Amino acid sequence: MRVKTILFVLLLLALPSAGFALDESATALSELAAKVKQVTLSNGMRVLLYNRGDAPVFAGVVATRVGGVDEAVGETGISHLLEHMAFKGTRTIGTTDPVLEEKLLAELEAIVNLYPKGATFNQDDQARWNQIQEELSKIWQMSEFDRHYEVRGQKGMNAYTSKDLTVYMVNLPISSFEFWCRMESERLLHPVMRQFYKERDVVMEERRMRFDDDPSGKLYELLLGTAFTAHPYRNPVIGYAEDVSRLTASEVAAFHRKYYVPSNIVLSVIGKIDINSSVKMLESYFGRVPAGTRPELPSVVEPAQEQERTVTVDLPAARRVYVAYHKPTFPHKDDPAISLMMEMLAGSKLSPLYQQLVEQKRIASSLEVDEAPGVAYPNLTLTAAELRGDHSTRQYLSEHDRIIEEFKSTPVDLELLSIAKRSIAMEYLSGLDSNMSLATDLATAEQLFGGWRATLDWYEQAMAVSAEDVTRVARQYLTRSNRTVGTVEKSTKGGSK
Amino acid sequence: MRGLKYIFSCLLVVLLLIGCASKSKPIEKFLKQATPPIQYDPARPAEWVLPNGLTVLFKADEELPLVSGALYLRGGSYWQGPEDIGSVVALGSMLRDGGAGDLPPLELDRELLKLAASISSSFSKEYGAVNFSALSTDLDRVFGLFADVVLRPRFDEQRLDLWRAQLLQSIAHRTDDANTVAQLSFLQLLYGDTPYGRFSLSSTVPFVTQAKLREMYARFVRPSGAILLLTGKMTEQEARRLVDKHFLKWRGDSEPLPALPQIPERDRKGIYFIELPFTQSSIWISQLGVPRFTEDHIAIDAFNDLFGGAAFNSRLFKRVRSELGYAYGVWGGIAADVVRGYNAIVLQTKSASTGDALLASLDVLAELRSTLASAEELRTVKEAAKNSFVFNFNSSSAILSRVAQQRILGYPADYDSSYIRRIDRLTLEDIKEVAQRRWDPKNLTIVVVGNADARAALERTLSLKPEALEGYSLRQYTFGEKLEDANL
Repeated sequence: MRVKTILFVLLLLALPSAGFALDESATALSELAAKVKQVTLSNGMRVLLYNRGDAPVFAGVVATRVGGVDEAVGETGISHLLEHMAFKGTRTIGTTDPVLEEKLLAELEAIVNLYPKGATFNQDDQARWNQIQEELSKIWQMSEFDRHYEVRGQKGMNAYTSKDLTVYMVNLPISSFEFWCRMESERLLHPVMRQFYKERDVVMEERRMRFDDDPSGKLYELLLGTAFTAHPYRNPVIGYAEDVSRLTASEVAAFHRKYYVPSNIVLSVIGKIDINSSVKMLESYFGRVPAGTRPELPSVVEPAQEQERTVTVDLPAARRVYVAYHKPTFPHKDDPAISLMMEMLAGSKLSPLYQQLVEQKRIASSLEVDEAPGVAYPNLTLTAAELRGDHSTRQYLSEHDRIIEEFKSTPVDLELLSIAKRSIAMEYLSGLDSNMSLATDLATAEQLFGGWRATLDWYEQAMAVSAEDVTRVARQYLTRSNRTVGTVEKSTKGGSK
Repeated sequence: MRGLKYIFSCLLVVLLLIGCASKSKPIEKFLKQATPPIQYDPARPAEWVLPNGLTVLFKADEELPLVSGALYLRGGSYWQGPEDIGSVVALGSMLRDGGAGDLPPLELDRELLKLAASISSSFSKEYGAVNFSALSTDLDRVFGLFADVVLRPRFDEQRLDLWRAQLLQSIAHRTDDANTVAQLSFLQLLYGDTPYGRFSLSSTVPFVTQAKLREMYARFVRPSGAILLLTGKMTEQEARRLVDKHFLKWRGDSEPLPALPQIPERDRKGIYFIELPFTQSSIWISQLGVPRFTEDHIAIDAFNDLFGGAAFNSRLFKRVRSELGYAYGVWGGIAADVVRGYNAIVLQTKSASTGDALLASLDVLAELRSTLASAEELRTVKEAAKNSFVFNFNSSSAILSRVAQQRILGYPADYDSSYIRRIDRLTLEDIKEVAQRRWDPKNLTIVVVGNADARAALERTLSLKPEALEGYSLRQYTFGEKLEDANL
């Protein structure tokens, strides 16, 4: 899972673990960990707080458990488009006339609902549509929600949608803590589908940039669609072009009502905060959001893969090869061992895949390992390479597989195992330095693993992984029948970019 | 820290949090409340200078059992000649990647991995930086390796060869990415055959040799004018001991860097179209800009925020993205640089809206040149500058690297202490004057990378003879050519 969640490291550094101890830091770190405060507001919204640092600033995160996995085919991209809409303001922030706006937006939707999705309007309806847009443009205040954040000195205000989660984040001076509580709770309480149809165009541009014109993006999308046959991990978070371009404002609003309920939201606040008064403030603002029913999680189970699958993108770009193996995710006991195995295989310059493919044989110009596409459901561990010059994908795969077979059949290099453990631990320790990194890591762990402390177990298990565990998971998961191979290469017929 | 006389005037931070929530107040009133001022005056770093000219800045930070540091070196690719293209960037990579001291590259990698420590190095246009981070218990060992990287690099031939091979690979595939093509082309068109416009080509890569790296090393890796930063869980005494042990005897040329060449005047006006099969056009509207710290540099900062710099709240974003839905990413502003920077508006849009999005962007500029911005826009810029200022100083490493970069880039000594006061004095006329004086819409170099549909869309727009594009014609441009061969 490798969620870069730090808190578990804090405690775990104190735990005895074979061949790996940072004793000198353990005491200080476990003290820090003990200071994390978790509360649940009266409406069921969970909050994580942590007081750290000297500068009078904080990072605030609102994480909702909604993402690509919650979307039906035909409405893919809806969580991401909703995330964009959250920046359009609230019922009253972003317009000079909320009452008129509500009426006009309803009229727009009435026109949309006259037609099957995606159909072209007749001339009269189109004329009326244009007229309403014209009227709306007179009462809209563009980017008003953001402007208020600018005024308050925000840094790094942003949001992202993943397969599993939607996260809104910002850094502010601590003097604007109440402001943050108010603004974020307002957009949960009073969402508005303002400028929806233009924003849909913006997302289509984002899609072109990330997928249509990006060979890696395109390959990644097709790889997921091939590796998963039933589970929604197969669908792109940004949505299929055909789905996104036909989403309606009413659909997105309904999606918000269903998923943005307190029991489905975790807040985290990290920085120079006073815990007790912050909790009161959070309750007084976020506590206003009416409790709702926690939406059900998707129940589709991906059928076990029985034979190797392949997919090719025909493009005149640099050749790429992605090799993706199915694997379970935490709390399955193999998850930490798989993370360490991949770190050993390709995570550093000493790793055999990197050493041989990039440095020595120079078949690849780059090689990375990744875990995708989410972490809440059984997922994939993958190696991703760009090939150098004229090397063929077959040549690459044959070397790639030879190295993996050798890894499976020879005793584990204990130095590599120790390096992999230390590298993971250091990653978490360094992440403690940033309010935002801590805030998103805590909220993610709380949302996806049933409580941030659950990740303590992950770390403990990771540090206890033995050489035998690594060999066992390598033999079990790194098999041809369990994988999907995706390539970018130009066919002899040629292709268009 | 020096220069941080700026005091975020007085306030008790906690007071706010104790005060009861004013949720009963209507949102409009709530949002109109003035933001309480921020009080924060972090302790200044300790500073000393070694006899060889190396400045050391130190700030203890006890929160985590970590230490880190960075050495900033003056000079970079701007000072390299046409025969040196790529050498300074290679020097940056190879300081760390080529092995150091007694350790060949792979042994240095292994040693650092075993310690869970990291050392990295790079050189860019105006300076180089070598960074390290480690557990505080490993400080002695890692600082020794860091010193080896700076003082005793090996520039291993095999690693250098790998570096060259990887660069050749990325050169061969530049056209995989529209934005890379557009960006390199606009630099080439604006700056021509000067250090600001040159970039590596497959023909220049073989000239990056070990001998060349040694030559670059002698020119740019030297104590005079360099700045060493140290922070984390260590005492000043420890820092002084380590610096003395490793850097006291460091010697090197102390001549100042030579002056940089000027950019020849030349007609650059036009729409340069590069046809490549992308579904989204990449547009760079550009022209030669200003050197750093012109008398209106604070007004330029404010103009940038208002025009196209502040992420969601700029004019360009509101018009081109939110109102018209033409682009996901759009940015614009005046980027000052040591000799002359550039002005640019950058966006990506679908082929069919290439011409419309170009015109819409030019309209936004034209409006700021002809009419005053609103008082609220200016107030937003001022408040944003004031209230976000604290983020420049929110960690020890942020404080230290800010000082280093400001000194290397020649910031005025009172830059930070006077910044808020100077922003606060700006008027709407100052912003308009920047738009008028610093932009010349009649002399833009417009680079568009797109497919045949994008070309058709541009031609359609031009055929309507819009005022904003009067005197502009479409020129075919082939990416990667030497400038003198291009059809100019």
